[in-house]
Amino acid sequence: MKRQIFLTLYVVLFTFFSCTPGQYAATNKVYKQQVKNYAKMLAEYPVKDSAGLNYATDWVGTTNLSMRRPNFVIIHHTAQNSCEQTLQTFTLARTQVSSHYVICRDGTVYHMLNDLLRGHHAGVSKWGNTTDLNSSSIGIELDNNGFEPFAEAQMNSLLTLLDRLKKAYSIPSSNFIGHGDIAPTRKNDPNWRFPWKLLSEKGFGHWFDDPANVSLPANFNHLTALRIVGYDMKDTNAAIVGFKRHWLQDTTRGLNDQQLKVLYQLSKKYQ
Amino acid sequence: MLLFVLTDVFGIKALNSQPLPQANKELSGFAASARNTIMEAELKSDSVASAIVSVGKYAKANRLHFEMIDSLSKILFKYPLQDSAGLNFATEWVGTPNMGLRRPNYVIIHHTATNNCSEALNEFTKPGGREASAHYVIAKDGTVYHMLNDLLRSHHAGESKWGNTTDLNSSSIGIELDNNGYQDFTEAQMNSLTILLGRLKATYKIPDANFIGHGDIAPTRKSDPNWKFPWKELSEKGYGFWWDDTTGVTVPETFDYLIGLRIIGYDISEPVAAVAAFKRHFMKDNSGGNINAVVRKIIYMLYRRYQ
Repeated sequence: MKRQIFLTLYVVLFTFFSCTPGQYAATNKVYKQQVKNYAKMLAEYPVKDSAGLNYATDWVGTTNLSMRRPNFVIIHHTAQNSCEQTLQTFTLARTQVSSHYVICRDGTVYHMLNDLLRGHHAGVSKWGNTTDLNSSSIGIELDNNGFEPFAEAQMNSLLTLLDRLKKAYSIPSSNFIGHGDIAPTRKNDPNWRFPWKLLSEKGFGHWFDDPANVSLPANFNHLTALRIVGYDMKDTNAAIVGFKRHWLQDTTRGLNDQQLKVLYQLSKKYQ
Repeated sequence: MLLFVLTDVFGIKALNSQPLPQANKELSGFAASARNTIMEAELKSDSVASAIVSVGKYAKANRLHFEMIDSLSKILFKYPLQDSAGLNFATEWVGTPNMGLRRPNYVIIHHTATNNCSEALNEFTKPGGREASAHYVIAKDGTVYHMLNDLLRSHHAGESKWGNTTDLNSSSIGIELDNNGYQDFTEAQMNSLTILLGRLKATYKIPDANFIGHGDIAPTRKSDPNWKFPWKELSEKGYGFWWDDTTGVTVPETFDYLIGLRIIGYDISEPVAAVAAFKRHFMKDNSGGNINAVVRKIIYMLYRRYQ
């Protein structure tokens, strides 16, 4: 009890007297300290080694280097009731979850992490041959309880942000995808109401050409097509559901002829 | 070293005593000066860093190397970020403590195509030259030059694609093997390489599938490591995929080998180049991009491994 009072007092004092005013002053301070530690890690050179490598006696550092950059953008919904709730979740160290951006329903953007650092938003995931999506992506969380449409103001902010990210890191159109795409057995966000087609028209994500007059080739294999798009094929049913949510706004299982044609058309975009 | 620690403690204290309103705004400026002080302290101390910076043929390059890392680290401190895109940012800044540094997920193996190791070292220390680099260079006698911290991005891949990834520099470690492009790789060199791969795989949890060659990710431009490179032996140790015994395997008539190559990871926009790269890597065959039943069968075998 005593300890709790002390802790509360500490938090209150911290809030009033630390460098950043406001509710998140304490965690903002942790943020700054961690970045400082990471900067030190990057400056560690020569790197200490324990593997018994036959290192040269003279060290030669290269002069041609840069920071690792994102190559994918992963879109999420928060599955929470408010932006405030999400900010709290992402500032608790014990949750170990975060994203680079959180966009509220009214379009307000919280930039929670420098783009060049690794956020913890993807979890165990796979897309194409890449198995560490956190290391190669930017995570964007949209405030949405998981069952509602996405607000217009929210979409406007998202589009502005995507445009900036695409330019800043030369992210290819194909690499704007959803959390449910890279972790189809565990995740279904953003929910099926998300306007992927609208995004693709602006250059964020691929879309399929009209399948109306297309006939499927005799050797068309839908599993191979899903794998080419990027899906992890460990659980084929989950991959099919992921594909249908993203490209057909449909949450049911299985593929009919019309849907197979859509997949065929889409997979051609990824070749 | 003591000086370094003191600077650090002082740095944190100074951060705490920043007046309220400026703190956020001036963070990057402050961090920059703190970092500079740390760097200076490191350089003046007896650390290995000072030794490698002040003496030897590469002293100037080493100094530049540290300066560049220092200015790159400053980018990380930029928070809140300055924005020019008219984003509707919240008035209050909320940083998350749940973060890490971006890590490599692939290892790309190269040959230097130079006559000796020094030529490669010179190339990679030339600022404004070809601007090429690698994380590691392994000499013929097995000596390892670690030229860049693994967590930084080196410029070894160039324009490249593998699966859906188009920025291999950002997601890989680059290893250069001293080899003029036509030679065998030496035993000492392979021993060092194997130890290094073991360390990288364990540290960054790199999947078996993601140990590949420069010629795989840039098949129209590159052919390294040359066809003599022992990919099969590496795959037996868990670095890279290989194909199983083909006896009794019938390739389905409908199998499209280009789709197979695409699933393995190849960019198939130039099919002949993709086939040639595949044959070099998986068949030790340097005869170019013509296809036959045997090649098609081995593509099929590997396509199944990459599912």
